[in-house]
Amino acid sequence: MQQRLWQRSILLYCLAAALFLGVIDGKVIRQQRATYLAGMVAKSAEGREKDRIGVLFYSAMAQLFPRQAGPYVNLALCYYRLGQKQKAVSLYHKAIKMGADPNKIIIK
Amino acid sequence: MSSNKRIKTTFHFFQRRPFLLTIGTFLPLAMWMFLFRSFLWGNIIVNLDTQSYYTQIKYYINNLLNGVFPLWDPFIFLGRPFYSTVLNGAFNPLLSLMAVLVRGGVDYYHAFMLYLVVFMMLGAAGFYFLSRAVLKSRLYAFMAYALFLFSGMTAGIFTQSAILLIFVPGVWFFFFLIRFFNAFKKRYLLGMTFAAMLIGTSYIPFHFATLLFIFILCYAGLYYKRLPQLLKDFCGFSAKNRMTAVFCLLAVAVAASPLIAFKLSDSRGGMVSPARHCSFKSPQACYEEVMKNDAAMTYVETARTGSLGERARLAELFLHLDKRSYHTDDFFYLPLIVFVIIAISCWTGLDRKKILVFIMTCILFLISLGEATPVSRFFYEHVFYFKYFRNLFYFSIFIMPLLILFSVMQLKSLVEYKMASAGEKRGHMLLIVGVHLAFVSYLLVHGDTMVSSYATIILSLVFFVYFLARGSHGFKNYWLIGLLGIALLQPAQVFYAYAKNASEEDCAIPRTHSHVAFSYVRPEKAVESPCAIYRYRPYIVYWYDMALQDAPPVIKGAERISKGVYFLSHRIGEEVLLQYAKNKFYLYDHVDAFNGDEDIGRLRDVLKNNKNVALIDGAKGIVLQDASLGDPAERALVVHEGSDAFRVVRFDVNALTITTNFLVPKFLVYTDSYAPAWKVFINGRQADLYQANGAFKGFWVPAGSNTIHLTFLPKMSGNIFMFIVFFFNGFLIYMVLSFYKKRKE
Repeated sequence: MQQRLWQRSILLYCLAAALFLGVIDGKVIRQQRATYLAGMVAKSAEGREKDRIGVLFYSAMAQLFPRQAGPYVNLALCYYRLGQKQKAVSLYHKAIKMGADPNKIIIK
Repeated sequence: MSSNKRIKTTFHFFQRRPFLLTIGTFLPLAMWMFLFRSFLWGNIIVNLDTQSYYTQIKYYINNLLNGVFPLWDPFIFLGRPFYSTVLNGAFNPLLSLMAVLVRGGVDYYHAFMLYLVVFMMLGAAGFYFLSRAVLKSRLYAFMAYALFLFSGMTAGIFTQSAILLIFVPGVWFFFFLIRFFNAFKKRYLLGMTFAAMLIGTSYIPFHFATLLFIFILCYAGLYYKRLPQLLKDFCGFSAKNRMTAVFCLLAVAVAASPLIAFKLSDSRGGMVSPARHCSFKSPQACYEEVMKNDAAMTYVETARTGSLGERARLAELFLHLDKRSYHTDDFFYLPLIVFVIIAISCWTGLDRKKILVFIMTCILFLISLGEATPVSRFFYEHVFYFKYFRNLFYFSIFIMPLLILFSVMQLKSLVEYKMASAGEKRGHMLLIVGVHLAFVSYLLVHGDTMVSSYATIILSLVFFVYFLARGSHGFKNYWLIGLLGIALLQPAQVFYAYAKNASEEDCAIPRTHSHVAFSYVRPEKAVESPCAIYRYRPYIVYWYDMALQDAPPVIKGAERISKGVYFLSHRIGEEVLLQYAKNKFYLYDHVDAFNGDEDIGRLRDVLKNNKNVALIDGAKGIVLQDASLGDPAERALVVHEGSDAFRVVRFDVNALTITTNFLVPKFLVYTDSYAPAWKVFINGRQADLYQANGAFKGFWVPAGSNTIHLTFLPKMSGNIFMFIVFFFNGFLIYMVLSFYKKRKE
């Protein structure tokens, strides 16, 4: 039997999406996540563990402050230390385009 | 051939070949165990809440095997009740298995690992049976089971024991609930009762209570026509089986009694949880709040930290998966295929079951986001128990399985969906290709994606396009096994990376059986460990309880300590407390009344300079001794070791026996927290026990030879607890036998 639109899952998905968009404050979530990860970065010992959590933290920060270059610079640094150099270079370029000082990045 | 018939045929094929069936069932488990072998063999030790859980379980079983049911913990934070018995599922019959293994020579850690895995497998089996009851198909239930096994639900057990404590009895409760309301059989009621008993003694039952509440509401809304009949049948069953119904109610009451007794004693305010309640307050404000004995938390405390939004980011479900840290308990992870299936099945039909599962998931998700939505505030304001628990991210323990179940329901609908026309088929093809392309584009744009994620999407695209090209009538059920293989590619790589990251830690923890030994002096400095896991949680909370050794009298990071100890550490300073409480026994010639905050300077002076006067809470009932016995300006006597005048002759975690022989009466202060349930018997006769020097136990010891017995005697004694342990075991045996008998029939 031919099903109508209101009998299909897409209706449920759309309603859920509308509900989520209406009631969820995305900024609060991003802030909570960044605060939590900042605590984790502070506690972790220097080394790969710190860089791995750093990737998560600076990604969250980049989402929270999308127009600032700082998170991208630090994110690139974490990737660099983790051996993902290509990813690090592309993030450095992005940071420079956003106004980061290339000399300072090189010094780091 | 109809879909159900085809599925049956497929299973008959396997049933005729039990070897293949066994391999099919255990292959995902074997793969899971292989990926987590370093954890299971003990090369990587458990972390965070699971470590805390191991500590408590080791303490519990170690003491049981020493012949003592532990009610008190004298080793850390200057003594506190051993509350884990009622909060951490110590009545779980599976723990008896652990005790048997330890008795048989297996070390505590490996016995614990076996317990964890068996408990997890019980949860996975429960999820399989629940899925089978919902989906009415073994094959799809098997898919749900395998996806469950390769989700964050199982990878998280090494850091978050609440997954097991809350989920396992919860899933079995729902399975028995469905069975019971389908058939109204006694054995299903027993099953529900046993699951409810376990939930009542497993950590905090509020998350499960919320899920059940939401389920009842949604069910009543969606199946309102069925409700009157169900209620009528239920009343009929209860009338026919009165004894069983009463027995089940009594059983739940017995199981809940330790928790109720604990909550009642807790509400008297003897113990406080500063670390739990003061995340957003200054030390002084925290002190005032905690000492006011207000156990409820503010909305900010319950919703600002520990939300799901804090522990997981949407993007992290697909990206940075190789960077998952072993130092967080936020393993919210589902295989990529779950999201792909949910997305491509948007055109399939709806039914009430799907709506029920979907709405429950959405409501739980919104609550778990805490402050980011008004939903959790609504619950906080209108549901009384929302003030008494936090860590809303624990709701993900239900969200993950619900999403898996929903995706498998959608997959089933997709496979069974019959295209009405060639146009619809083309539209569907476009949808599938579009969704897969969207996923690939997202991953490519954001980068830092695992190779297996791309492989999953490409293979999934091939699978679904081929499926659509053949049409549902040309579909073979064993194709689903192929899809399962594709589905497990990504989680396998994620788990591999997770285990690799965790293997960077080099840690050791006590695993062998310990016998308690009494020492007259506590260590001044904590043992230091290079182990990284102690960067995140206080070392003191773990090590000393596992080793059954005295910790330094430090209270930093304490989650539950006596009110007196908290008062002392805050008002006289931790340094003075550390200096004073390193010795366990002081002998005084004088006592005086202590009037709380007014006398705080005097108390500090007494403790710091070791004055020969003990300060006792409240002046009532104190018989002041003759001042000629000594000079209050002199120093109190400190007992550094046993002698003929003073010796501890027997010690276990709940009691100690001392022999004394003084020339004059002395007031003895034992620097272990005071609690009203502690009693002192001198030569067999009960004597008065006081709260001395702000937090400790103190009593008069007469001159001459005496035998003193100090013991912790709460209303819920060890014998009652042992009865409850046997009751749980007996109930389980009875239930298993009744199921076995029915199966045989």
